[in-house]
Amino acid sequence: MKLLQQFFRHQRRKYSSTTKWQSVVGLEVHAQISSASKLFSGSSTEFASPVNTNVSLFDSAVPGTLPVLNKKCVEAGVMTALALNCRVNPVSYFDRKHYFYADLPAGYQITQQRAPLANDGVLRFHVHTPGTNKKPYVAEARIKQIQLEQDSGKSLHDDYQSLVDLNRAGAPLMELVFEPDLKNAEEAASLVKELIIILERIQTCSCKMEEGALRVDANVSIHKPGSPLGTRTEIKNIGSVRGVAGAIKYEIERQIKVLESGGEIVNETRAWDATTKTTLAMRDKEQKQDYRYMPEPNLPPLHIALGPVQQGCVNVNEIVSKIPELPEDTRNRLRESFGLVPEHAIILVNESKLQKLFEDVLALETVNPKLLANILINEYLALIHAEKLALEDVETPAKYMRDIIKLLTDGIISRNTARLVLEKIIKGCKDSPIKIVEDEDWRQITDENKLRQICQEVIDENPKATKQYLGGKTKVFKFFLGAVTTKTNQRANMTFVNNILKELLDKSKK
Amino acid sequence: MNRQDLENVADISKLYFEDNDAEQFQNRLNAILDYVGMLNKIDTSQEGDSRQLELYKYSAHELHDKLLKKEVSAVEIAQAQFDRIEAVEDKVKAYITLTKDLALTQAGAIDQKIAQGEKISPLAGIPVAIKDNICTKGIKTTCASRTLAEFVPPYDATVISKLAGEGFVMTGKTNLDEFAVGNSTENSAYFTTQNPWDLTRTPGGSSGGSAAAVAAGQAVLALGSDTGGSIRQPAAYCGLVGLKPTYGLVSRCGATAFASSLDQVGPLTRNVTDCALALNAIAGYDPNDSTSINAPIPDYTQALAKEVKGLKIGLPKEYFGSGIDSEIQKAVYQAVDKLTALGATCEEVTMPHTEYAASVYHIIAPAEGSSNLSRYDGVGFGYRAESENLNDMYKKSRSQGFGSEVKFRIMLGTYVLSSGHYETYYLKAIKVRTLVKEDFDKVFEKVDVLLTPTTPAAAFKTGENLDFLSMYIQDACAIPASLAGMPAISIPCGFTGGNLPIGLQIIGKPLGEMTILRTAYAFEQANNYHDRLAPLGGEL
Repeated sequence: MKLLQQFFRHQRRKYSSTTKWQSVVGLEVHAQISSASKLFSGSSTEFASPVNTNVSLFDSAVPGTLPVLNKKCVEAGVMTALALNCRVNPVSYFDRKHYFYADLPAGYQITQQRAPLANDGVLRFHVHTPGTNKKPYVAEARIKQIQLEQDSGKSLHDDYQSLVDLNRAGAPLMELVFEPDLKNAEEAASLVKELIIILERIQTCSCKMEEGALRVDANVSIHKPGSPLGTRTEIKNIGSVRGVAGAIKYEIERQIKVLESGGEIVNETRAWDATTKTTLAMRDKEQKQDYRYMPEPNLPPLHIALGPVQQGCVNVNEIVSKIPELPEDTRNRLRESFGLVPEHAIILVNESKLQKLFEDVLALETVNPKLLANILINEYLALIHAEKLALEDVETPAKYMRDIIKLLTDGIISRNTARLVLEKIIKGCKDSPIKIVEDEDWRQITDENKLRQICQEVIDENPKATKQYLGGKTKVFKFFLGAVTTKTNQRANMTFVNNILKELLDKSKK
Repeated sequence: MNRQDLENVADISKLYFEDNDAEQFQNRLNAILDYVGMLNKIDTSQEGDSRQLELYKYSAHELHDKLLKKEVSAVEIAQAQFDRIEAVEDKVKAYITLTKDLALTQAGAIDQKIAQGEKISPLAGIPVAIKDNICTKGIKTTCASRTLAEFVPPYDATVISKLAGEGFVMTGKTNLDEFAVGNSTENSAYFTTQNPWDLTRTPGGSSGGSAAAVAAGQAVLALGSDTGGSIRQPAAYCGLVGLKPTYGLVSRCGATAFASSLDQVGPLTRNVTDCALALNAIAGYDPNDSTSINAPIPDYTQALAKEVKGLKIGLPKEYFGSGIDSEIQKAVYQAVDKLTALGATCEEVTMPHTEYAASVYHIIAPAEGSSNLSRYDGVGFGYRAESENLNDMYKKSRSQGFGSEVKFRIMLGTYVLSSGHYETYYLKAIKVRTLVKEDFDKVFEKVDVLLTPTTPAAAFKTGENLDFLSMYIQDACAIPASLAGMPAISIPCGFTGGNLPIGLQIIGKPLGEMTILRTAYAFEQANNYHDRLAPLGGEL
């Protein structure tokens, strides 16, 4: 609650200084269901297959062909609906949505317009932008409905001709329609991120936006507080999380500019151009379509069994039992079981590979989880980013990570050394941390007598600084710490050094 | 005959003979054989053909017996069938495509089976005509439309695979009203089929080619499709048995759709026995058709029992109004009398929403049709016109590819689905459709079958240019069962004064095919209407 209040204060400050406008954002997400075959035919959904090879007779609308619903897609849709707290409808229907286009062979798309698979869900998500000072806060967007529908094919144009690739035609999609509950681009991007984490977790969508497996449409409008909602524009087919943030931010600013210069917002469909970072009106969508929705006569009503009785296409109880731990539950568990701070829990869950490493290490041995999370996030992940690598591409054995944590907690290496070891591993060194530390002679000096000797040497070598310290300039103490670090090639146990130096300096006072 | 021949004959005859007798036998046999040898002077080469020509008159179960007894071969049947087609096709014009080579190959395979002593199915070697909106792999399937003039399906419809499994022989693809839209075949993009009972009249439609082919002996039986009477009305006009099965009993996979919630494939035959055999072959669950019914299929020939004692017949009074010709009413009432005489009971029932059925149909069917015909846009396959741009290509291809009636119904269907009109027309129609179905559910609590005329009048003249409402009214008796998904059969029940066949419609409960076949068979066996052959203008 406090976080939310802070957010509102922050928002008010931001807008009152620049504009009196409030923006309202709603999303529609098309998520391709991870299934081997299409929604109504047996042809493959494999990405990047040769053009027009994943095409059945039905997909190309050969006369007399009929749709046969893929049960796996229904399961995926129901699981997604449950994961997003939706009410799954015991009976839903398929409808035809008509429009003529070259990549829509039947002249209609089979979708669920009248009674969708599920309604009335809610998605809570953390609005957290790493690298900014903003405190993370929790926001939510209601889900109006989730429906199953077919994808269209792809039209390929050049100056002379248009060609059609039907590989994608009939691919299974879940359309998730969110209520316009979002306030800005940042929230929209955070929602999409959370949705991706959930769908990846339950494996109903690959969420590979670069392959078009997850596509976002955004409805954007602005209005003054207390006045009715403004005319909205729709930005179609945004293909990345960054695009979601960029497109909405641009569109809000564009609308403000238009209205403030006395213009009017037109209800139109716009496209996000990721290279120029602008939205443009789509000319072919100018004409208002009359989709002439009609019940799909070739498909009976879709029955979903809600109770224990096995009656219907799929059974909700069976699907519930298959749902893995959802991201928010994981975050809570990480905080409650391991005492992680919320930011660490959020980052671990956002970076599923990092979370896996975290859990794998703890499965090997009960090391200090807070320290582990800290090292994973602030050292390991930071190093990977610094090296401009992707977390997905770096393989670090859990036992190496465990060794590093143990070396740290046992005081055998310092945090500095831990970073050096990790850097070597990230860069491809296959040796175990223990071997690296031995080979490099990075073992921390913990022998008190030896440290005492080194500290004494440093004091003896710097009479001027000693004098200053003894004269009350305690700030100079840091200089002594630095000198010991350099002298030991970063190997000294600095906790010990701290105490020894203090003792020796105080002793020389007398 | 020499001595050796004589001994062979004696051996085969299991006779011994004395040497004395041998010579006498030999002489006498040679004398008589010389005498009867005179027959060789007569040219009988035509005679054999006429024996085969006659084969077209037999029905499927009779031909099956002849095949089993090896009286004829399947190739002979096929050859005779095509001889008949060549003789009369010019007059009837039933076929868009003939598949003689395929037929002879299929027949040859059946003969081989018989020769090898294998068991053959009841439809093995039986010549069957297929309505040209049912997909046949490698054989043009035009839907009598210009837009599909060159369409060669890459697959067989489920009903075709099933018939192939039975070993049927395909004679060809029959004419229809374009995309099964119409009731006279006059909407075919190619030509109009004539009624074998009166060549100036329509065979009905849309399965008019299939009906005419069977009535003219150009096929033993045929498959048609029925959306709002397209099997039953031509069957009535052509004096045939035509069955529209319960919606979902026969797979629609591969039957090009006009109105998917109404379309059913069914047989047109010359008698009820063949109808039962054909239904045995094509009925059954098909996982490729999600609306197909997953229920056990009985042996429909078990219904052929001549037994109607205790059968409760309902006569819905709404089907006997002033719009029905008196000759037709009379024939139907006589049929009712006949069945009651055979032990059935009869009562008048009321189905108050009957009068609205045609209006419901003329909204729902074009709505679904406009949707189903969207795919013929010149992009994927089919007719494509030269054009300026994509929109122009759509409009030109569709304007030139479709005939006038189809365009009319696309316009109507698009209108009733469009924004602002959907509720007034389409939504209203699907609600009233439910009421029509409830009428059936209610009367079927009391009766087993409903008897009605199949059509209000006998076949009308081709080119008569009936206004469309009078034309549409010809389907008024057939439409309600289609809307409700009920099975309904039309069987011959008499002739008009002008010697035109009259159809009796028997409507049954969902999956009540056994009952309607039983009723139809009992009536058929008590009459001889089905024995009469179409005169084909009196020339044959």
